[in-house]
Amino acid sequence: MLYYDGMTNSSCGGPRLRRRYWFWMGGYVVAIFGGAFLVSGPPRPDAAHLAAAIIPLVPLCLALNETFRAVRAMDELQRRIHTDALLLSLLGTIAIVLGVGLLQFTAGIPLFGVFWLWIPICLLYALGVFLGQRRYA
Amino acid sequence: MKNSLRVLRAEREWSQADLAEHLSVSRQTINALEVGKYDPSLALAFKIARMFERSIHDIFTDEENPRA
Repeated sequence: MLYYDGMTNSSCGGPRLRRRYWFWMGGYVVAIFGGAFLVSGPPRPDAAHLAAAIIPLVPLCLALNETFRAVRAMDELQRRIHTDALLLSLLGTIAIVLGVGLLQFTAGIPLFGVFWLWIPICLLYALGVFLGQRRYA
Repeated sequence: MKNSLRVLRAEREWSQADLAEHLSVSRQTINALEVGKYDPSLALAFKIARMFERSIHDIFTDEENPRA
């Protein structure tokens, strides 16, 4: 079945994009562990530590670009499902951040790093896609 | 919005997958259109109309104003 740029499979933009996505995600993981291996010890704001933190962003951004291209390659219903899921993810994450922030101010629960925000973002996105697929099944 | 997609498809003895392939969309999109869960974009509606050699009005009916 042909889609906008000659790919197969409507759900995530085809195997070619998926392969490229996993290639760049693999590069991201290698860059993370490679950086951790090369610059050990406590965190310091020196050039080596900054590079170890920033270099993995390159393959990550390329993987995110593949995600963007995959969504654009989908047909209009799939795109709607995924953009609705992104909206759920965004709004849900805002609610979680505000809720946890107030809990930190009022109840004194421990602070947590923004690094962990990817978990609710991804979970809510997956939930949104699941609900959308069920809605239009 | 109502549509006669299922009837037109049956006239040509096409499966949902066949129609999906002709329109370059997923089978899920065709199913959602046929059961009225999803209204197509104007571009897709024109594409469907061209494919069946009908006008958009012949295929899609506004439920709030059926004569429109």
